Amino acid sequence: MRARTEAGAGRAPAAPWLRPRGSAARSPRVPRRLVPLLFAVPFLVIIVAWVLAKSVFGVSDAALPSVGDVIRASGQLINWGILPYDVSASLYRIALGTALAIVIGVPLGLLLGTSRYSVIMFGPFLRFFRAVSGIAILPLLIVWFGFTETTIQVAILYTALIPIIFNTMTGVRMIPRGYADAIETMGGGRARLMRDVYLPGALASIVVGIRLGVGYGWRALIAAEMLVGVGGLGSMIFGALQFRALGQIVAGMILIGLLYLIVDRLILAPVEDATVRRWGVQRG
Amino acid sequence: MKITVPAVRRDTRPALVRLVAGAALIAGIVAGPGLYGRATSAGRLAPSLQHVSGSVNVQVLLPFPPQAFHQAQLSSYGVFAGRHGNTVFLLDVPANSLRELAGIYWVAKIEPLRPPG
Amino acid sequence: MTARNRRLRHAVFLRSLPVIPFVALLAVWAVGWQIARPPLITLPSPLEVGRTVHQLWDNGQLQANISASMYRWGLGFGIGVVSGVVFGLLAGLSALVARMLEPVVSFFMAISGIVWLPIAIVWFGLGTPVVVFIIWNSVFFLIFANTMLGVRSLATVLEDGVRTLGASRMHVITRVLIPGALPHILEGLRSGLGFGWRALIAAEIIGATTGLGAMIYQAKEFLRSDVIVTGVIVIAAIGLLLDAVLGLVERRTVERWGLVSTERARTR
Repeated sequence: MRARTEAGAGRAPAAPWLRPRGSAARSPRVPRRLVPLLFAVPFLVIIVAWVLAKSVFGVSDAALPSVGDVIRASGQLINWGILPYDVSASLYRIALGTALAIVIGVPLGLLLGTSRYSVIMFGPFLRFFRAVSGIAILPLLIVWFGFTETTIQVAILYTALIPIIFNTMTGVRMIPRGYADAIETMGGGRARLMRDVYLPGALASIVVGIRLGVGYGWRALIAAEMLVGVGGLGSMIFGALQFRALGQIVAGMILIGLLYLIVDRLILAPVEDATVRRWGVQRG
Repeated sequence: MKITVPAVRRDTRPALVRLVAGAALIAGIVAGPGLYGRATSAGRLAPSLQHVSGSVNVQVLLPFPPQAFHQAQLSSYGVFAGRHGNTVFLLDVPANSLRELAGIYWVAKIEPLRPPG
Repeated sequence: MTARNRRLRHAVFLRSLPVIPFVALLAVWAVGWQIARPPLITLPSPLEVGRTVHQLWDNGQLQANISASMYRWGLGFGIGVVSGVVFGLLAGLSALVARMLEPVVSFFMAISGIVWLPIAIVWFGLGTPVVVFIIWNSVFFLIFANTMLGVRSLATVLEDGVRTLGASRMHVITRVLIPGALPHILEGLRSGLGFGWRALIAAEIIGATTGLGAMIYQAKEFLRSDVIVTGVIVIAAIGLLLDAVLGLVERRTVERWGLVSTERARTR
């Protein structure tokens, strides 16, 4: 959503801070070829600041690990086979939880979405359980299922289910009435309606819901792993706390962020883009 | 109820390219270590263990002192019977578990169990 | 029946619909409990929960925990909003800076919240500071990104127009940029509120001894599932309340001023 400048380049440059809001590539200070590399600058700044904090300001190892510490810790964790195990465990859990949430949530959402009244009826109900976050429900889950894999899975399922149901529901509601009517006048039954109208029509919203589900679910996963402690990245960084292995903690944090970004930006976002283009109504 | 995390700029690279790249990355991260381990498994098993049938007792040498994690992992292949230095002792390891053991990349060597001393 | 009566009946009908699932759940819970009679440690009956609420209120524990949690949330949210808006405005002034910052902000949003808990515990120990930090962390990057987006999406024409009328820099910022970016800022606030409240609970569960999160976690140690259920309901209720309050603020300001169409508001 870039605002385009109307005044353009013909004008004498305004006060620098009030430069026309065009693309950065049109800024005379940045050669066009280098624009894609711009994103690296803030990261470099952070790394430089990090190194400075250690070398110039002498921040202690007890507070901040050095860049070398983090790299060494990553290498060691990989050497010991711990990191791949935890990464796979976390990824497996989010995949399973999300898959279950889709299988349960989409049909449920479709069903609920077909009636105007069920949306009004279940809206606040779903919002209530959304307010009971997947994390707040963990103590209860631990009482029921113990410190086990099941607890983590249920927490993820619960967290991801709500945005999926909600978005499926609203997705169906946004389909113009005409499509369903057309199918009905041609003699189509409920199943036909579902398959040819509701599902494709709501698909864009469903995918957005899945994306939200993964986002919330990933956070709940890390929290659950911290509490329950049966392997996984959350469990790893929390365990490293006990030994004050700061290099491990930061390595884990970076990995947690990177993994989520890969899944969200490189897998889910393209699916959303393709779905919206094919089936969706583009919403600002 | 949709909560949007705003993107200042829309990613314009083709969806398929991103999808393939992302899927490949994740697949590589998840399957990579296992595949690597299996590819290098030949060097791990001692010659006398190459064609064994039934259950054997082995000692598993790691390139580092074993931690609780490794003991737990290795216990699923045989009966854990103690450790000494960088070596873990496993009893009653069935033949196919042995092959799986050889496929673990963080294992250095697997040899038949020799009583210490 | 007059048309007006019919409309009234319909309105009342619509208003009462949302209550049905809650009532149904309560009924299933009460009846199910009667039939199954699970031990207290697994699931309390609705009556027991009611009694526990009363008990915790009487001995002041509930209020103490609520106020501890709200204090921390208020602090973290407040600082997060102020810092997020200020830095977001500054960053949004330049297209270059905004474009440059987007990936790093996305990264920090990806790890915002409890992922920082272990390192934050190293820095702050257990208790209120670490909880406030986690909340600030969850809120700041979100508000920052939203404010930046809000500023960047303003039409230059609007701004240039004000400038040609001879407005000063400060004037432009306060009279054009802030109100113009307000819809995005408020949307960020709406999300940030939920994020912050959830981060609060998570941080308290792991890193505090007082507050609602700590309360439900400690109750687990003593297998007091009635306290857990009580806490969970209170947590949800406060979360919903905060969201409703913000919705009210939104309606009174942004929608009143015509910056957001009511159509958009209705899709919430």
